[in-house]
Amino acid sequence: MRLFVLLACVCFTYAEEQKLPEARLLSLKKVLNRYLVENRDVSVDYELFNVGDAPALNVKLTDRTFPPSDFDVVSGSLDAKFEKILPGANVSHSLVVRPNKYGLFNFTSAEVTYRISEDSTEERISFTTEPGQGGIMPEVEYERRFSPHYLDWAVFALVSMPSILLPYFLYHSSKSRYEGLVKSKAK
Amino acid sequence: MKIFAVVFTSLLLVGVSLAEDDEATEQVETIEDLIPEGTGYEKHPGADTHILFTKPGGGYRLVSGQEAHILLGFINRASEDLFIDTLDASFRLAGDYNSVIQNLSAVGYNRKLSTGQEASLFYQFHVDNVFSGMPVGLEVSLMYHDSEGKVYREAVFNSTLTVEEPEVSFDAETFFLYVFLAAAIVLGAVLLLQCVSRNKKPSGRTETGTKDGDVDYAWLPSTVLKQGTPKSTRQKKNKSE
Repeated sequence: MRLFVLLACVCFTYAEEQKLPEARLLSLKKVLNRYLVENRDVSVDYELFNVGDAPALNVKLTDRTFPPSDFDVVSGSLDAKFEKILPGANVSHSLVVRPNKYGLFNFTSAEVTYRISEDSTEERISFTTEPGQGGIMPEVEYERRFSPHYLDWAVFALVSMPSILLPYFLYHSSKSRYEGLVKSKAK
Repeated sequence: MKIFAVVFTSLLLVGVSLAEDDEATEQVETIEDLIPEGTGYEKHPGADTHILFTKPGGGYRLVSGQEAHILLGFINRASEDLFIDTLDASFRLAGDYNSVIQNLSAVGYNRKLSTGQEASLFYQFHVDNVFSGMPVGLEVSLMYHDSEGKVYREAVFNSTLTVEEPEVSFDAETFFLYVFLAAAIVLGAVLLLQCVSRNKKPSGRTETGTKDGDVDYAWLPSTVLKQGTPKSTRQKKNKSE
């Protein structure tokens, strides 16, 4: 009987150990732009959800996937630090980058590290979601598709002007000639 | 005696078939039960998953005609590397997980997770309007393999959800109902006015031709008007005769 109680106690403590509260972060990285264009802003949004049952401490978000040779950081930063994310809470971080080359680019995951609970010193390395491969459009191509084309319209007006103005001047000259005739008769 | 034997065997057969039926109805419950044992499609003991519906939000909800976003967390608690392959989802008939209503595309991730690492996966799909207000079984399953190449499959979400109808401020049905009512009211008013005006006696002037003498001669040249009132050609003819 005693042995059984001891065994039960051991089992209980083991189960307790298994269910230590810990933080658990789900991290989302998403690119908000519909079109990725060379030399134009691209907004990247990070969201961290703590779905665990302990606060996540010393949360560091680092994105090493935007090489300085291909991207300029316009606003925000590639690193973010959050002291504490309570269970059930979520935080977000945004970043604006500007690609300086066109072509295909694979947006991969950023890295998040955090301490899983107040009692533990264990650091967990977590990876965000991957937005995936996106094509960065050349600026010229984008302009051709979406700009208001003011210059093109001006050139069109200039080119189509002679065919409208020439008949008008012919009409105007003959009209003024006949009006002059009528006036001189009336006098 | 022979008849008795036949009846007995037939009863036995019926009993057996009934028992089989009972077993069939009891059996299929979840995807895990559906997959035959020993094919390697099982959960890895070191895999820890957690699912979160980020859109429409507010727990496990689906709204018809809208996108649904799912965030899946995966922690590798095993002592070996795990490789995440694909995530796919399917809509099944509520209560009967054998009947697949719609299979959603599998998304490949191809990610490697070392021991103790955690990764998040993003999956999105469109909930069709057909499911509006209907309970459907949603099953999201994850495929991954270990360093030895053994494939695991885990149903990370497997439950029946009632698809909600979207809350819209503008309802086309009620809008056109009001338009129709307004049209009916206007039509009624027009008909009423017509009835009222028909009852009144018409007081319009009657046509009298040129009897009144108010004939407009303005169109005639002044030289003709100076000659006096024109006489009929017949009279002229009579005079000349």
